[in-house]
Amino acid sequence: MLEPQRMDKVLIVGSKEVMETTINTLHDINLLHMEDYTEEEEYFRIGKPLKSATSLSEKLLKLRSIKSYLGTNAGKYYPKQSREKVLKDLEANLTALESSVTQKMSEKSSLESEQKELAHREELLKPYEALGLSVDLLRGYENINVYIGTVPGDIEPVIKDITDKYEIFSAPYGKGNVVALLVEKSFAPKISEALMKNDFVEVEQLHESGDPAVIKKDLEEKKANMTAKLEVVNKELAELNQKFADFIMSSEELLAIDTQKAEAPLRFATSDNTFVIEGWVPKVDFPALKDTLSKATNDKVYITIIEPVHEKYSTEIEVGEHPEEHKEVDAPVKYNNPKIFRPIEAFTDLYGRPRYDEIDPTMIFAIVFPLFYGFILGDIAYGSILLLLGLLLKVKLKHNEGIQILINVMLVCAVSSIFFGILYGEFLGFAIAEPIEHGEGGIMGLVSFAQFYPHEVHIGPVGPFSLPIERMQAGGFHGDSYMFGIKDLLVFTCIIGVCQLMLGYILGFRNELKQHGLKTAILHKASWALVLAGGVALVWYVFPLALNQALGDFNAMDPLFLIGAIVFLIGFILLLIGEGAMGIIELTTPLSHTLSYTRLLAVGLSSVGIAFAINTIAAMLAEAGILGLIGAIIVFVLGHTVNLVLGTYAPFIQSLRLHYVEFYQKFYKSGGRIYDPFGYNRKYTED
Amino acid sequence: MVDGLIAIGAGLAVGLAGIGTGLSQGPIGAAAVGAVAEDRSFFGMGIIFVALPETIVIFGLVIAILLMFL
Repeated sequence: MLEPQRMDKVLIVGSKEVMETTINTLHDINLLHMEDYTEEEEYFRIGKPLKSATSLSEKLLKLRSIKSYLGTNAGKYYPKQSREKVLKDLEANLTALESSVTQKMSEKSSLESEQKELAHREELLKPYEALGLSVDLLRGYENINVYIGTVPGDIEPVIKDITDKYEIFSAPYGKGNVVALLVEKSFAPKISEALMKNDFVEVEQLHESGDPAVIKKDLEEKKANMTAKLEVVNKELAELNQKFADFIMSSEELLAIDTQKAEAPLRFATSDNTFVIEGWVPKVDFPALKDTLSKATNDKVYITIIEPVHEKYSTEIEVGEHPEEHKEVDAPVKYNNPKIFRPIEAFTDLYGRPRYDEIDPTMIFAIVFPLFYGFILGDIAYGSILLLLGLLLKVKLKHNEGIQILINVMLVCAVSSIFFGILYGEFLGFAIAEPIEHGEGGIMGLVSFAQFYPHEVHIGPVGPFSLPIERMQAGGFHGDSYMFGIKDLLVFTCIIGVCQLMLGYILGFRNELKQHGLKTAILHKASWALVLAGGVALVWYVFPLALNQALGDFNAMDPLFLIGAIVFLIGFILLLIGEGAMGIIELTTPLSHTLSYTRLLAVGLSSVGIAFAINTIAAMLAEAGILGLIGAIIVFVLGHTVNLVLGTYAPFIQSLRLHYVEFYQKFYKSGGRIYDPFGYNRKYTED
Repeated sequence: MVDGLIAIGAGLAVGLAGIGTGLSQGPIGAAAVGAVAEDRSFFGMGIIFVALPETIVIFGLVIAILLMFL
């Protein structure tokens, strides 16, 4: 279960007359991960697609372009349709639908381009509008040059210096002015130069004539007209989409399937009369594949398993020498987890598909991740809200598979949060296990569950301990019984870290053993495990001494210290042999990775701290009359909402990170080929 | 007096470590998001790189907790 599914490489050989039947059967059972045939030889060539392929892919192309024009998407749930009906619809509808969609689309694009043109002309008109002069007055002179443009400041004095035979109209426009300057033609060169020096920017000539205000009104009318037309076209397109969405989705699926089948021979090796298919099948499914295929073709195909060459990773690259030889590690990877863990595989895929010869961490992740999540969030109220929200979303988003996976994970995490919330005795940041004294403690001094929490718990012979575990307090003895507090949790999280890292090294050892043999496994993984174990023993001995300022009592012959030191040294030496100088540089990783697990405590603590602060502020406000009470409610609701959003997100990311960074690095390489069988997961059609 | 100094020390430990983490995590995060946008399969590596400096602030926090409670 911790390994991906074992695969068999199979060879299917048959005469060409049964090729189509074979393709159909293989597609239906959806089990064979085909390997493309790439080498052209004297006898065997890459197969040619079936005859129907061209027309099928043409239709598919048309359909997909219609789909993208109309924006049809898979968001809605449609009932499955039979093949015959879809084929009939396709015959009847496709051409008509294509032509009407194309026509509507071209209408739409011409309308849109006209709209753009109008907007451009409106933009051009703006400076003329500011001047307010009839456009006809600004052109068509024989002996007068007209300059229309914008300048930052006042241009008139500059012109005056050159000549006084001019007429200027000016109006504020943008950050400067827009001017229309009319001057005698003989002064043109000088005027042009002067204008250029004063940052004069000419505006484009207008084609229209008449009063700018009238032109503007005309443009606006045209624009409104255009928008109305566009709306009509858009509405028609939306109607088409509505009417044909079902047809488009189902026939696209059907065509995709048929195209897939028609193009399958491109992956085969074919001779004049035979075809050969190579591929991978899960070991457990091989008999089914063989039976079904034999039955469908009346035993006219030959199916056999190719035995793998048992060889560890070799460094030599063999090119085409033994094309029929294959190594087991090349197999595509299909997960092999119990059904209930299957959704979690998405999280493993997010990091990378496991390799064929390594441990699949999905199940460990599925068990530990919610525990980490709950350990961090750990609040009865937040957990319950999450649970309700999750259940609500589960019903609302019934047909969205991707979201369903996330929701299932969320539900499990919510239950875990409630469990830890009970352990911590926390409800919205209130300590429900505190007895009520003078109207304080418990939930707002009203409800307390103190009597339900035991104070005489014995763990084996050790005890008595009292519950709940107090995240916000130092912990220590209360009377006879010991209360777990932040110090104990700090140590506890480190222990969790050591355990998970150790598990990582053990899994890593197994992987290396399988991939590179015992020597590498010992030098690269066992060495680290020994360093970690020895290091823990050393710290376990030295740390309490240092804390109690009793380093004078240090005794190198103490068995704990001695064994720890020996184990550490052995590990260190193995590490030096295995990894050389890099080993020394990385020697502190077990320490830093272990300490990294204290985030389990830290992140949760921050969210409790915020909740506690919100409650305190709300309580203070509530004492200040009716307005204060309203303020208190606002602070309370808003504060806890924000804290809940942060509090659900942060544990998710942190637990994910602890797995991806600290845990997986110890053993998980990923990068396996994804098992992608020849077939199709039908959503809209059925045979 | 001592309590106050301890509180200041704890605050400095978390705060300065946090600044350090932030400074290093920013550019790494930006680069990682860029890489993931190009190719989704970089996600795992991206998370690892972004998460690396986070350990610094955890060290700061551990020190702070030790100061406050021990």
